[in-house]
Amino acid sequence: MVSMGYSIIPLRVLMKNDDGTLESTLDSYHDCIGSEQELFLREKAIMMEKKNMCRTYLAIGGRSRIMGYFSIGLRCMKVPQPVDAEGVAVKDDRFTVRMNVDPDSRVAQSYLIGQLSRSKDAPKGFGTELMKDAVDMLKGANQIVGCRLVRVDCDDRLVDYYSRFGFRLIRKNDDRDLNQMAYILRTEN
Amino acid sequence: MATKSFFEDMVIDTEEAADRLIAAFDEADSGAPGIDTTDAHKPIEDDAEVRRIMGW
Repeated sequence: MVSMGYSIIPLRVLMKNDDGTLESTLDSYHDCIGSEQELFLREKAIMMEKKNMCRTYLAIGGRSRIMGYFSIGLRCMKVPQPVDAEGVAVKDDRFTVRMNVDPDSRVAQSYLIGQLSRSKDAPKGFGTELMKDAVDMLKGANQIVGCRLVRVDCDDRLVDYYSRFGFRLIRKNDDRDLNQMAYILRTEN
Repeated sequence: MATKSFFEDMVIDTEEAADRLIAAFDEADSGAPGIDTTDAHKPIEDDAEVRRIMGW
């Protein structure tokens, strides 16, 4: 259980209020595990924010330090039409009753938590707080536009970590270097 | 997690993947508890408050 004060601030709000030091603040970030999360914040996050590809939220602690961040967006999910041995389409409503799968394109939407990063200076367990904040935000999005499926992609080392939150391994990505995992938002309706 | 995720879709291209995804829905709909978000932080949108937090 992590108990500490921090604020969640959208990157777009930081960009709007930037006094000229935002870039150096992002440059100073150090992830607890690897450099990819640092590179994303330094080199991709602002560009992807401007292109509306995702939204990044920073956890700001004492002395305006970045304790971690997460980035969320939307991605497509494809559910090919099943066919029988003769190649004839088979009726399969296992997905269409649960998701907004388009009957022609067989495409549905999913939320994506594309980054979730704890600073090397933040205490162990802080990633759990960030996950709660991210999922709470997606629950709000679900109330506005629907969609229950939340996806994370991770390497083999993190499958157990995300499984503890309730994410379930679905498949490997096409390059087979990431595990695509899904969590289904609990809804009241 | 990887930045390339933002550029990749998930394709349910095997029976195993389909079964796993259906199982995830079944688990959620069975009443299994989800991630507890009761004490989640709400994002701060107010410009003045953001500048104060950042020391700007």
